[in-house]
Amino acid sequence: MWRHARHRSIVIEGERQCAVSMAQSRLSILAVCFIVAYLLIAVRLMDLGIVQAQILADADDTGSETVAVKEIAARRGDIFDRNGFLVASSLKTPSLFVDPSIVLDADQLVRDIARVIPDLDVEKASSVMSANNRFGWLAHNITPAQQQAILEVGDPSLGFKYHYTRVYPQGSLMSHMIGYADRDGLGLAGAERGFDDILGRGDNVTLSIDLRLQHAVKREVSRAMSEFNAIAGVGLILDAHSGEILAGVSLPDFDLNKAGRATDNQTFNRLTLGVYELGSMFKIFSTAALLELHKVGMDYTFDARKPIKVGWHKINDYHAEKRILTVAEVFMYSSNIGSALMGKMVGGKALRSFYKDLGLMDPLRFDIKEVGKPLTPPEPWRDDSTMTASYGHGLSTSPLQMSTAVASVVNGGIFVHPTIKKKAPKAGLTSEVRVVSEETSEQIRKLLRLNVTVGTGKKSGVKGMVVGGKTGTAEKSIDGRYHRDKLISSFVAAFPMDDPRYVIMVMIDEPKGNKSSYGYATAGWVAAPAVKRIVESMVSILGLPADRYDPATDISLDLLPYIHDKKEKKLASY
Amino acid sequence: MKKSLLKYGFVLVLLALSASGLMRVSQSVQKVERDIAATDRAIEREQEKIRVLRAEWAYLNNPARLESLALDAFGLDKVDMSSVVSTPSSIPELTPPAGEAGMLSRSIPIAYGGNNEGSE
Repeated sequence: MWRHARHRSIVIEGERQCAVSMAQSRLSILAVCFIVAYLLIAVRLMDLGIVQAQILADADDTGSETVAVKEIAARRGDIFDRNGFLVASSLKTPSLFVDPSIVLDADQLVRDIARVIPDLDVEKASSVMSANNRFGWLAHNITPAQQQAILEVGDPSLGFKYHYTRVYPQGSLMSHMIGYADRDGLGLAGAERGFDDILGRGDNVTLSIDLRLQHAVKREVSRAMSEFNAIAGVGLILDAHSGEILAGVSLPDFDLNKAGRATDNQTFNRLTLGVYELGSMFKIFSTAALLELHKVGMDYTFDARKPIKVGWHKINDYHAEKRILTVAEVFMYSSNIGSALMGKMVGGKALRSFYKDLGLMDPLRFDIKEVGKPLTPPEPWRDDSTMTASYGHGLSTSPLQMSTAVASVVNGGIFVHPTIKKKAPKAGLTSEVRVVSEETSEQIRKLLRLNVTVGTGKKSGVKGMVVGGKTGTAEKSIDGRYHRDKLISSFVAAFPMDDPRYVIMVMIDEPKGNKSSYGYATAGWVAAPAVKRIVESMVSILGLPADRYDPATDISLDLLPYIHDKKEKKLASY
Repeated sequence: MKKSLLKYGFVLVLLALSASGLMRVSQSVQKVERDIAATDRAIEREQEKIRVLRAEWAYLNNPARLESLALDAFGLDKVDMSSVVSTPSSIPELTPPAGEAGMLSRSIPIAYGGNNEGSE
């Protein structure tokens, strides 16, 4: 319209007209640009004012984080027991901090926080708040409920940071096997240390340990400890074929959630790191060496009528029979004299290399890095070392090492590598290394069974289960002197003895005899009953068949002809 | 002249249309992105909650705790070897019941602990 008005007043033609229309078109282009720009601004205003505001309001409703979550390190993997029960996990937990520069009423704030977190160190909190900086920790790893209550206090100077905290729901049940990790997620002991590379990259680990068996073993070991007023104890269930540790206990133990506060005595892993003279258990190996290397029969005899003097040592019998004993009798009566003669017959070099093949002379190769180095007599073994070593005197090994050696001998003769990582069922043997022949393995199994049916391990017998085992009672050597009243009483057992599946060991440190044991603190009285109770628990936990046993076909019956005793020996009812 | 004005008007309308279309698309993309982020956060929160609950469940299933609960609430002690039966044929015959309730109360010896009496 306005163009028409202009048209009427001024009429320009020719070249000039061209210039005018060009100016006009430029003007309109400019106008369009402005219009578009204002339109965009209007639209963007609408967007910010209405649409975005709506989205932000929606987000608030869903409870968005009011406190920024800092980038935190990757989550450490979880640890499970063999049945999938959680034993170690990393949880994101909030820690409370304060910005002292914007605190208004420090006293009131401390009171408010102390009401929510009862174990708050009030004095420390006050000094943190009065500090002249912009950051101070008030409380680490608070619970979700406490965090909510702090949020309700609503003080702007408070804030949360998140860390992963390692939690161990089973507390002290398997302290030494799981071990612990530090605040930065670095494994410091046990499986946490042994499998640090796997856990560190966020993968889970499933242990071979069965929580239920672990509990049963811990219960029975601590019962034996308190009954006999002992200072420490060890318990173990080992799969004789796969080498899997089903239960591993070292007492005293500690709550993994408070690992920092545990004493050295509690954190010391007696099962794998501690080395002990385990005594007569070595007779299993010296007898196996004799049977393996000299092919003698069970009727072969040794003169145990009087003690042997060799070097500084006088070798004597605990249950002295004072007569000529067969191989079976030496084992059954646990005759030191007989075993010493066996060791002499085998010879120092052969006996040592036999022990070495069983892994008793070197530190164990094991998932847990805390393994003890065995204490052995200096090489070459002279007669006295050889003879005492044949009944386990003068050499110290860890209980786990002892148990794996026993497993290797009784499982048919194939060396076993112990592990705490679960294996696939029917994973088979852990090595191809044969340490003794099938025949020797069978003879040893018969001897171990005989020990329970008529010998020193009677108290480990369980009705219906073919348990076999060997006692070991040793005097403790402290500062180079042996103490008569300070004993290590242990029992190693295997069952079912026809084809051993489980090896069980219990070791009690410094038990004191009581009324029920007629003052005895020896292995047969202290450790054997604990093994019996562990086997009983295993029957119900694992659902083992308990009524398939036929006393008429007991493997130890084969050995009865070699037992010459005034009293007639009868097989115990189990 | 008129024609070029029409052309401008048309371009203007097209521009406005495409601008608003673009804005709509970018708005919906932003919204979807926010939704995804929110869902991711929600998933992570839920996973964290699940982890806490799993840890709590594991804690409650501690064998020592279950054992003492079973003993206190139901009088269930360690299994005696004489009561372990592995083949059905070796289970002894039940005596004929005097009455349904009577049999139950006699054959299942349960000692109810304090808290459980209400549920009886």
